[in-house]
Formats: sequence, structure tokens, C-alpha cells
Amino acid sequence: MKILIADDHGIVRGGLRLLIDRQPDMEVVAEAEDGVEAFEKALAARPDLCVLDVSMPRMTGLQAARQILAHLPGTNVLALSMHDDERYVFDALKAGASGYVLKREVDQALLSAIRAVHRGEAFLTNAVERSLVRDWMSDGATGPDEPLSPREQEVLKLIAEAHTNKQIAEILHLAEKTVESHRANLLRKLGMRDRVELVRYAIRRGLTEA
Amino acid sequence: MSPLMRARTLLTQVLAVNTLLVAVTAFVAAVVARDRLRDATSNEGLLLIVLAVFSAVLLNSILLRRRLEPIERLVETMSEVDLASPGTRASVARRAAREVKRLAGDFNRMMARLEEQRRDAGRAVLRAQEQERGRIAQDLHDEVNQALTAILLRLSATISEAPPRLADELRETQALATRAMDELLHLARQLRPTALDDHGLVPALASQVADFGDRTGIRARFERFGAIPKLSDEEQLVIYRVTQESLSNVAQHSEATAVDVELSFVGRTVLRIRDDGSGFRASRNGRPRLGVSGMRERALAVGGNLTIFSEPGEGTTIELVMGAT
Repeated sequence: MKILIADDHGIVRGGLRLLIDRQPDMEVVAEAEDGVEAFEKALAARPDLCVLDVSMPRMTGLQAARQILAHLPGTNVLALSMHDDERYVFDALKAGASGYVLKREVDQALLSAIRAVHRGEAFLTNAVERSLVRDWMSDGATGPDEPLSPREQEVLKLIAEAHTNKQIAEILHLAEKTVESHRANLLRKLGMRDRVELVRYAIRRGLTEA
Repeated sequence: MSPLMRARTLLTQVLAVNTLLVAVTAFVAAVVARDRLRDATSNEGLLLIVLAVFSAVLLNSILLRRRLEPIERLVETMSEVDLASPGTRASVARRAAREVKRLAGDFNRMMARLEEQRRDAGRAVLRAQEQERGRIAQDLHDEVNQALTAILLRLSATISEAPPRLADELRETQALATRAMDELLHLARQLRPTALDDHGLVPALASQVADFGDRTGIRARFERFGAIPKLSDEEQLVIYRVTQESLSNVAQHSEATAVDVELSFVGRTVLRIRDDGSGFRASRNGRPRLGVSGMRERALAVGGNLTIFSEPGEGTTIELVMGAT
């Protein structure tokens, strides 16, 4: 099984590679330190499965998952996260991830999750299921509707990380004019005046870290 | 002016001066009158003069006391004023002298300015504190927890090739690392309430109270009354932090078996945390308990007011009223 691993922390990638490569049926074929790199390397290496950290710079793991699955429908995605926040779990499943493993549970769950997801099954650990049930039972179950398109969310994340229009255009392979119109649309849709407000929104939506 | 003079009240000083004046005038008048009208019986005349002087001084004293009363009231207000419970203002009667009115007006303006500055300073301190906490939380989250994640992964890799006895020991080490991670995650959540940003005030409070109950075994209930009004980020943070601090006090000091957290938006926004614990007597010298002054500062910074009701054996209720001042 060919596996791509993506995490912005080198030590975590090192640990993942060590554990995965030691399994006879698994092999790490690519490493990426952010979502953009994960997408590019996935296109080149065509892995069977991608283990993506949810919070990464430039493009989150979930945004990368969406892109990868759109271009490589045969690939499966396993989301890896520090957050047991139900919002992230929902977003990961919506983005097309087949499994969600908390970093605090990697020792117990990672390998079985990889195998389950590779078989085409969904995989959630008990802790993740509990957080989903908790959310289900609280009154905020449905959450607010997301007003932004996936592409607009990608632009928003990069704006929040202080990239220029030109850099954003390069990262997302878009024309600079398109980025400018996305930026204008973002401000209009969210009813915001400036970048500061956009950054706050991006943090609140878990697109970027504070 | 001698120190003795300075220590006397304004009223006695003015009275003394007036008495002296009236007496001297009367005696001069008497001497002059005696020269002119020799037939006037001197004893009767003297008595009359003394009576006249006495009644003049009495009248003077009554009138002066009424005139000077606004100043005394102003002085009383000034000495009672306490920046920790803002909103105290001097009021003057309409008949008060112009100077007194000006004095009171200037005093009130000064108080308003002081309170505003104190609020601003308080807010700046709180903002800095929140930023610092956020940074620490981020570090814990990003550096320490990622390192622990790597440790868990590496131990797993080693276990698969270790002899059974060592594998068991390694698994115990993994359990320790997991526990450390849990504690760090909890700490990071305490330091930076991301739930507040992600979900809003009411769900964040509900999950804080539920977590508290799970962690401490104290029966914890959260209730909300009324529809949530528009609250600023700072106000929401203060409500969240006061709940956090209060619950931490409940866990550490109260020996309570149950705690109720209520957030009411009926009329004013009121947060009430009530426990059935041992309670305490508010210390007589007015020194608040640890953590309470911090909560009070937070409340003040957003124009709220924090009150603590407690008696030994009666439990403790902490009440935060927003927009009280």
C-alpha cells in the first residue's frame, strides 16, 4: 500500500514514517509539510492512501483532501488531528476523508485506521464518535451554513496567512485577476471591510491558527 | 496659618471671625452710645449688648451651617469614593454656592476620567494577558504535543520489534505520554478558549460546565434564560473567564457537591455561579480572596459588576451583572 504523509511538524512526519515503513504491507512514498505540497506530491506519486494533518499552513489538510480526491478519486484520505472538536470531524468527513484519528490516539488507532480506510471502510475512534454524539445532543448540532465556496475558503486561508495576491495566484495556479475578484467576493459575502476581519473569521472557522 | 487653625472646620473658623467682628462692633457701639447718652443704665445696656451679640452669633451659626452643608456633603462623598466600585458621583443642592457647584462638577469630571482610564488600563492588561495565554497555549499545542505525538509513534514502531516483556514496559510508557498529552490539551484549552471563537458563548459555557462535572465529579448544571443579545468579544470572554475562575474556586475550596451556572439575558445580562459548599465569611478587612480581585477587574473592564454572597455553611454565589455601570 503506497502512502503519502503530510504534517507541518517534521518530528511527527518522522514518527509516522518510522511506524508505517516498519509494516510489511505499507510504504511511505511521499512526505509533505503543507497542504499545497501534499496535493502536488499526491498527483506525482499517486498514493493509495493519504494521511493528512488537519491543520497545516498554505492549505489545510481538509482543503488538500478535497483537491486530491477531485483529481485522484481512487485514493483514500485519513485525517489526523490534535483537535477532538466535533466541528473538525464534520468538516473532515464532508471534505471526503474516510477516517479521523486523534494524535493522542495514534499509537492505538493509526495502523488499524489505515487498514480500515484502505479497505474502503469508514474509521472513527471512540473518542471521535463521542465528540460527534456530544455535538449531536447539544443545541448547536447543525452549525451555521458555510457561505463560502471551497475555492473561496482556500483563498481566505492564504490571505489570512499574509500571502500577496501574486503568491496566492501561484500557489493555487490561478490568474492574479481571479484572486483579486475572489478577495472582493469574500469581503462582500462576509460583509467585512479589511484583512484583519478576514483573519479573525479564518481563525474562527479553523482555517488557520491564531 | 497655624496647624491649629488648619485643623478646625471651615464653619468654626468663619464663626470665630464673625463672632469677633460682631463683638468688637457691639462694644465700640456701646462705648460711643455711653458717651452720648449718659442716662442709660450701664448694667442693662451691657446685658442688652451681650444678648444682641449672642443672638447675632447664633443666627450667624445657623445660616452658615446651612450654607456650608453642601461642602461637607461633597467632602463626605470624596472620602467615600472607591475606584473599585465606580459610579459614585457628588451631587449638590441647587441652593449651593457657585464655588461648591464648580468644585463638585470638577470632581465628577475627574472621577469620570479616572474611571475611564482605569477601565482602559484594565482592558489593556486583560488583552495582553489573553495574548500571552494564547501564545503559551499555542506553544504547548504546537511544540510539546507534536513531540509527544512523535514519541507515541516511535514507541509503537519499537514495540512491534521488541521482546514481549519490553513491549509491555513500552506500552506503559505510551500510556504515560498519552496522559501527558491529555493534560496539556486540557491546559491549552483552559489558557485559550478556542471553543468561544469556534462555537460562541453559550455552547462554550455549556461544554466548560460539562467538562468540569466530568473532571471533578461535582454535579454541574448549566442553564440559559432568554435570547442571547449582541455581546462584544471582550464581554463574552469576561463571562467565560469568570465562570472558569469561579468553577476552579469551587473545585479547590468549596467542598461542594453541586454547582449551578446560570446565564440570564432577561433584562440585564447576569451570570450566576452558585455552589452548595462550605462558604466563607467575607473577610472584615475587605481583602478579597485570591482570584476574586482578578474577576472583579475583568468585570470592571467591560463595565460589569461582580458580587459575592457567602456565609459559612451556606455555600457561595458569585454574580456578574453586565452593563451595571
